[in-house]
Amino acid sequence: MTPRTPEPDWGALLRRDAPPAPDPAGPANTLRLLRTLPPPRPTGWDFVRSQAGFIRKGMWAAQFVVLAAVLALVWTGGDPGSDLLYRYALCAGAAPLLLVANVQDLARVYHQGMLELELATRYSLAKITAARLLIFGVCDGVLLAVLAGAGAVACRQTLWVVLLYCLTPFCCVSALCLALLRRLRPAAFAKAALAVAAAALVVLTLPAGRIRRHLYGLDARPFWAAALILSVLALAWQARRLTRGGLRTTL
Amino acid sequence: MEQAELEQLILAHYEEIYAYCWRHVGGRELAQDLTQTAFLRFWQHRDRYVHDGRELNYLYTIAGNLCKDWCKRKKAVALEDLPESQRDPGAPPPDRDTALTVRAALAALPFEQRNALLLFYDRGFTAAEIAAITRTTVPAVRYRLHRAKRRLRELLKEELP
Repeated sequence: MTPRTPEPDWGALLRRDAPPAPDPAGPANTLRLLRTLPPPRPTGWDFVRSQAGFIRKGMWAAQFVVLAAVLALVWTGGDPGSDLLYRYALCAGAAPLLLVANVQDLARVYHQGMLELELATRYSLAKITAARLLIFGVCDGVLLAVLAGAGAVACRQTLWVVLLYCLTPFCCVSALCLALLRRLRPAAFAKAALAVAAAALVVLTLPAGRIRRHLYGLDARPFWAAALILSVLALAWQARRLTRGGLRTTL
Repeated sequence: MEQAELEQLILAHYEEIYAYCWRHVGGRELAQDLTQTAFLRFWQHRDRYVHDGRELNYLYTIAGNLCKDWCKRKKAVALEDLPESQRDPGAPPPDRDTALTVRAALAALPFEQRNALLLFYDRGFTAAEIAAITRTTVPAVRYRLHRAKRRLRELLKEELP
C-alpha cells in the first residue's frame, strides 16, 4: 500500500507570491468617485410607478369621464339579456381607443422636453412613453372591470359573465395595440391602432341575429374564456417586453 | 445601505479585495481598477443585496464576476513570457522564481478552480461560504478544490515537499 502524500500547506504556498501593495490613494480615489455617482435610476415597476405622477391630471380625468359615460350609456340604454352583453363587448373593444387617441398628444408633449426628460429619468423617450401608456392601459382595464361589475349588479347579470365579455375584447385590442406600439412611430401607430380597434368592432358587430345569439350564448362561453386567458397572457407579455425594453421601440 | 456604511466598507476591505483581484489578474493597476469597479458596482446594485450582514461575501461575488469577465476577454499569457519590465514592480524580490512559478501555476488553472482555491486557502472562507459567494453548491466547491489541488500538484512538483 503506497503511503499517502502529506497535504502541503496550500495557504503558505499561495502567500509566497504576495501581491504588491496597492496605491495608498486607491481607497480615497474610490471614495471620491463614489461621491460623484448619481443615485441609481428606478428600475422595472418602480420606474412605471414613478411615471404615474408625471401624467397630467386633465388627461386622467378625460379618460375616465369618457369611459364612464360610454359605459353608463350602455348600462341605461340596453335591455337585459344577450343584447346587453353584446353592447358591453362592443364598448370594451373600443375602450383602448381612448388610450390610442392620446398617443399623439403624449408624444408631442414629451417631444418638446425630450432631452430633459431623458436626462431626468435616465431612460429613453420610448420607454418613458411606454411606461405612461401602460399606466393608462392598466387604469382603463381596472375602471372597465369596476364599471362592468356595477353594471352587472344593476342589470342582474352574473358578474363573471359580464367581465368575460368586457375584458376579452379589451385585452385583445390592447395586446395588439402594444405590439404595434413597439414597432411603429406615433402617427403610423395611431392609424394602425385605430384600424385594429375598428377591425375588432367589425368582428363584434358583423354577426347578426341568430349568429349573435349563438356567439353570446352559453355554448360559446368556453371559447370566450379561452380567448380571455390567451389575450391576458399576450397583454402581459407585450407589457413586459415594453417595460423591459427587450426590443427596440421606435416611438 | 447608506453611503457612509459603504465608505467604511471601502476603508476596511479595500486591500483585501485588491489582493483577491490581484491573484486572479496578476497586475497591480488592473487589480486596483477591478477593486474600484467592484465597490462602485456594489453601490449601484445595492438594491439587489439581501441584508444578511454579509456585505463582504457580496463584494467577493461582484469582484469574482469582474475577474471572471476579465479572464474571459483576456488571452492567457504565461508569466515567464512577460518581459521583466511588464512584471509588477512592487512584487517581493526574494524567492522571485518561486513566486512566479506559483503565479504561473495559478494562472493555468480554470477560473472556477482558481477562485475556489483562493477563497478557501488564501481568504479563509469555508466551503459553504464559497458556495454562497460563487452561487453554487458545497459539493461543487469541494470538487473544484480537489481538482485545483491535483492540478497544482502536477504543476508545482518541484516546489512541493
